[in-house]
Amino acid sequence: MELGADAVLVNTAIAISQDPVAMARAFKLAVEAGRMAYEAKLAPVRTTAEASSPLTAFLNE
Amino acid sequence: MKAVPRKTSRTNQMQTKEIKNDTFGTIYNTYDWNEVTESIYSKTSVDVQRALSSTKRSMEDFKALLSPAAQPYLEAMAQQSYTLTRKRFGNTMQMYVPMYLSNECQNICTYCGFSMTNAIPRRTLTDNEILKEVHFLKKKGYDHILLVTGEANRTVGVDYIKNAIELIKSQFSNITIEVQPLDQKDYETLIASGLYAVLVYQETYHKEEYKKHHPKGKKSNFYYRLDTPDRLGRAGVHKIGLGALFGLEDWRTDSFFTALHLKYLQKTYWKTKYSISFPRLRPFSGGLDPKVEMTDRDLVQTICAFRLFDEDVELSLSTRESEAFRNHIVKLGITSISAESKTNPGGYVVEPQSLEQFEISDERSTEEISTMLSGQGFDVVWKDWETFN
Repeated sequence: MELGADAVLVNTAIAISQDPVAMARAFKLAVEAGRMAYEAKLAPVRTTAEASSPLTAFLNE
Repeated sequence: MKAVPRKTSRTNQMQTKEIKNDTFGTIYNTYDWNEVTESIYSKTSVDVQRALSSTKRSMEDFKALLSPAAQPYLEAMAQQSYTLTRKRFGNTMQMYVPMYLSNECQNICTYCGFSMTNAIPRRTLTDNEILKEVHFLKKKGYDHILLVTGEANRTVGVDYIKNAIELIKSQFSNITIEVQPLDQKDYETLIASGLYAVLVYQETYHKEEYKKHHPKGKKSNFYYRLDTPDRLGRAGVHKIGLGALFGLEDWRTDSFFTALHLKYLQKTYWKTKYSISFPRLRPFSGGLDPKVEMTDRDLVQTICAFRLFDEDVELSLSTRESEAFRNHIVKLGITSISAESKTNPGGYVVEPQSLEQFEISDERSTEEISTMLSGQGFDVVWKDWETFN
């Protein structure tokens, strides 16, 4: 989606699942979730976990 | 017959040239201060992110971590610095203490309280006085000591320093000096006497500014000082301490050259260990205000950048920094600190009232610092070295 595709043809993943209707709905929700998150703007990507009590907070005191 | 001496002299010249080319000074000359500065300031957040996600960081990555673009990433840098330091050093924090032996000095340094033109009483400790100071420091628990002098070769030359080392070596397991730069053979003499490490800070790697700050004395020779770690490496010293005096010039560019110096030395004298110190200009009697201010935030950035650049290098912090700042910064990459320091010869017991080289900032006692460190989960280390003869 971020690359600019207007549509994607998804067949096999839906067709061979045990409940194709539920799987189709899951794809629809995934697309909606992706779009919503994209429009909400991502938080900066971190390469490591970050502690909830920052080590540099003292600089703001 | 004539051809022989000519040939010899040419060979000698070539050897001299080769040796001369084989120091950091030659590498330094291929860099331009302003170009390096511009390059640091043109780093972007993409460069910083790349540096943060890299595991083996290049000089370009180090520039990015020092750059203004890295300021929003300070917490991420601090987290990594913390993790890397604990991974490599565990929870250890090495304690050391400076002992000033003399404030005699034939140099003029614009930022130093011991500068030749400052009309202060001069004192050089006698054997007896040294032992009195040692007695006090041993009671505090110290086993790693840093001997400091000015630069007065006639009175406080190699013989004086050698005598001081031999006088105290039975009482300390690790002796470091911070004195005038010496020749290789002098270092060899001192190492044989029990010297472990030498600290020699370039003050600034800006050649022209260096000349302005050191107008007179042996120290005014920029390249002799710059190549001192080479002479130390050749003499086979165990550890060399590098650093720049932050405040004389742009700390980012000075940090870059310090790191460049470090990498060169590690590659060339790979049997030697290295440490980096982070002195910021402190007020002193007749003092100079910093030309380029380095804020607490800047210093945190610098310390973390060095740790991310080199996992193994020791990072040292003195009592120049305040109590509150040191309480926090010990977690962010520092591996050795001093406490209760006096920066005047005889400052502990012999003549506590004499004039200091600079005012220290963290005035807590050794016991208080040790308790603070333990409270933060550190193992306070007094001794990690023993010399066998």
